Amino acid sequence: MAINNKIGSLRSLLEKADKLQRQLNNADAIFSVCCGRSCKAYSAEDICTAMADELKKNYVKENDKIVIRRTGCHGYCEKGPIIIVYPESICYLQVKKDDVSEIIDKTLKGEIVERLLYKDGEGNLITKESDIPFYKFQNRVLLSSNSKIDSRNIDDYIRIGGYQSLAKAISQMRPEEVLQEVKNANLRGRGGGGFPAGVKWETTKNAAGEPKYIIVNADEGDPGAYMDRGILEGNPHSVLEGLIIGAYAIGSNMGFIYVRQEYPLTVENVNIAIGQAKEYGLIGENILNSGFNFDVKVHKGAGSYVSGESSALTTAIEGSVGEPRLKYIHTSESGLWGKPTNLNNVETFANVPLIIKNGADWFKGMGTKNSSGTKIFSLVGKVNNTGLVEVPMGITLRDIIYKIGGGIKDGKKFKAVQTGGPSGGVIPEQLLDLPVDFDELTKAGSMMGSGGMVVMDETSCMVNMAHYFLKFLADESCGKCVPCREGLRQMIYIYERIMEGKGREEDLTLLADLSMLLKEASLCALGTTAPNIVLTTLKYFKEEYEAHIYYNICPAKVCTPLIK
Amino acid sequence: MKNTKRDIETYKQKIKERGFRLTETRMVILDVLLKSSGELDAEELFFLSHKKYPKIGLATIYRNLGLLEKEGLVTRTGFENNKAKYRIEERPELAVWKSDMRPSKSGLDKNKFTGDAGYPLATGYEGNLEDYRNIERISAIQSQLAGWLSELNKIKREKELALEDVIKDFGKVDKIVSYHENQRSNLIQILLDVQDEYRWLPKHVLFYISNRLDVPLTDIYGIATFYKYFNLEPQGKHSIIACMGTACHVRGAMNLLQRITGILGIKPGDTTGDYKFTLKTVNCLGCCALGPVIIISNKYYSNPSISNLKKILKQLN
Repeated sequence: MAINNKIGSLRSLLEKADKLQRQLNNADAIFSVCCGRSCKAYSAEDICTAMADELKKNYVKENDKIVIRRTGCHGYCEKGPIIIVYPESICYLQVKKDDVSEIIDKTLKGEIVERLLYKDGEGNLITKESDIPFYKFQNRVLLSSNSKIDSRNIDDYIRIGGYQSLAKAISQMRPEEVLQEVKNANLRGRGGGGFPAGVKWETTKNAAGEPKYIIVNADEGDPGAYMDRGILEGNPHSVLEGLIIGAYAIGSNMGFIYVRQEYPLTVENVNIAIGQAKEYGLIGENILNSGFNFDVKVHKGAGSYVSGESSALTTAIEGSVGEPRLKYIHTSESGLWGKPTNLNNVETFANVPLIIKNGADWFKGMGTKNSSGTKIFSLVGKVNNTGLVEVPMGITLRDIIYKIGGGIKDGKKFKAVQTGGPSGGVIPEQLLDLPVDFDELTKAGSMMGSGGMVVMDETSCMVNMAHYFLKFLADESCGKCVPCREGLRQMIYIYERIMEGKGREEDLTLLADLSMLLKEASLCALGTTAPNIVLTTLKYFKEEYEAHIYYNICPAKVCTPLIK
Repeated sequence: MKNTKRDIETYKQKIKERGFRLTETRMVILDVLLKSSGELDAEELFFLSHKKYPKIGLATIYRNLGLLEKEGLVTRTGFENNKAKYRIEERPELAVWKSDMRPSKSGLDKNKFTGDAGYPLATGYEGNLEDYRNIERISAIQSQLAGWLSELNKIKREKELALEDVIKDFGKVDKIVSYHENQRSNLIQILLDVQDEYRWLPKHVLFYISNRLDVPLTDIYGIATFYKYFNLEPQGKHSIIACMGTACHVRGAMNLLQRITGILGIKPGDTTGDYKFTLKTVNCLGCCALGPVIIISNKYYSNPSISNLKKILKQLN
């Protein structure tokens, strides 16, 4: 039975895709219900069941012509649950269970439920998803597939052209050519470091030692960021495809996907995806009759932020305590069990099939000179439209926050945007026109990080924010090296002092000194990037610190001991 | 309960017995301490004694307190704000602690308690029979205290055992370990699955896994304490997880946490006495658009009010 399902070549893949597409063309209506984490919390699952019931009850004849699709995150989480009706791609927002029968009824009559459409500021109704301002200014290369496929159905992915890049790479290209293509595309690591993926692959390929391992890092621990989950949960096959192509390029036969245990749905979806890919012969032995073998395993994390660091992650997969080590030898040369190990972020792998399919030049056509392609950000905090945003590199922060994000909530004043998770820094209003790419953000003292973007308004206290991040990092510090373990704790003491109104004049220089020490002397990136938040808040919001220290005032009225 | 007049006589007698003078200062200190219901530090004592006996100085108080403490008539009960607190010893007849360890003045038969070679049994100690009786009495009290303590521990352990009792057979653990191919490298996965099964990691299960995988128990505990997800204590029936991620923090996660701690009366990381609810915090749940988020028994809620929280918790009962 299972053998029958195996796909043997690019041609059979194309035929299958064509057949599936023709099948779908027969359908009268396709309801794509977003079942991402946020929409699920708004009881999207209930909507799906209500829809199925409604169809069973009242539309027996049309039943096979109507498709209900449970998809991954569409991105516009603020207005969930979302239903998109294809082929017209009508977008309904904030749908409730009671609206279901009306939606089905009107759709089959060719009408539109107007009250569930998006209304812009002037009261105009917007029907199509792509016309909504939130989507209009994005360039959704990776995320756009999310609404077109059922994340638990490999057929859907094959229908939209999935695994064709893999077939192309394996049957028409040599591993070196694949590697060269990725290198030419200048695909930089999306996990935060921004190290070119092609170069990393090459190092692993040329490193001595067999077997070689390849790992997907989906330990997305940054608070306020959920891009990787958006992809892995909504379109797990795209990551798998990228992973297999990567494995082919570097000559690895064993891969791991390290997923946080806090994302149970992601673990589930990835496991289902692997099972289906195995059934189709896309993972396993002799993939697409090429003689190339590859197997992949899911490793669940158990709640440790520092384990997302590459050397710590490899020890965690080995089944030990996930502590980082000194990296004078990189994991690409000596990683898992001392063997060459290539480690990339989810988003990096998801980009690979697109590069192989469309070519390096297409990829370089997006973004800036040194940072090509798109980047997904999770735009959260005090902004009107929260959600996942995919934009070409080089777009300004102002565009992201005001055009896509729709400005600040409740008409408040913008204060700062925090990028790059706890390791990043804050960016004040005067730098909002900064183009977003790896190098520019680093210059401003922050970093791109994995793509968290937390917007803060005037009611956020910068001293309190810095204290919050340091506390998070101190909590997550593994305690192996002294600067990080003790330095962070001392900084927290100083912050607590300032927040209680007992700050001293010399505290500011002391904080700066400690920050420099941490930057110089810490073992891994957790410690060396931890002071970013301290340094950037000190640089751009010094007057807030001074208000706390000299006048015992918290301008944002957050620090309770200072409120009179 | 306290009869001050009679009591003070006992203390006076005790002081005389020891061969100390009954100075006015000592009398005042004892009096103040006896009349105060709780514990006093030296400064408070000075303040109160000063009214009765204006000549008294703080240094005198300190000196005399030291003496009375040595004689076992006053107990030092601990530090509060870096100040020692003093309390009157309620049973002065038991006051033996330190003073009786000194060589007795009453001239006893030294040979009685020395060894064959004529050396004292213990340096600095020459006791008499009375001393031994006192020591016996103390050890009796101590053993009683230890008994109570073990009783308490027993009750606690029984509670745990009752919870462990559910996990008598290791069939499920066996299944999990075999599913992960008995491999050391899958240890974290095994522990994750075991915890999903029982909600926590009981000691004897860890012992069992250690034996089956031939991994030292320290390694297992190392992992179980390093990773945040593992619980080494019994968990409540329903878990309540409050998200403390940045996006939730900016939108008021602290207020939400205060609300829930107020209702449950426990700190994050603790379990209610009836093992119904365990409160935990997590650094990001990845649904930042809903923030501040709280998961109550696997259901997500966005910023519920106090009355809503109460309603939700009540339904779970």
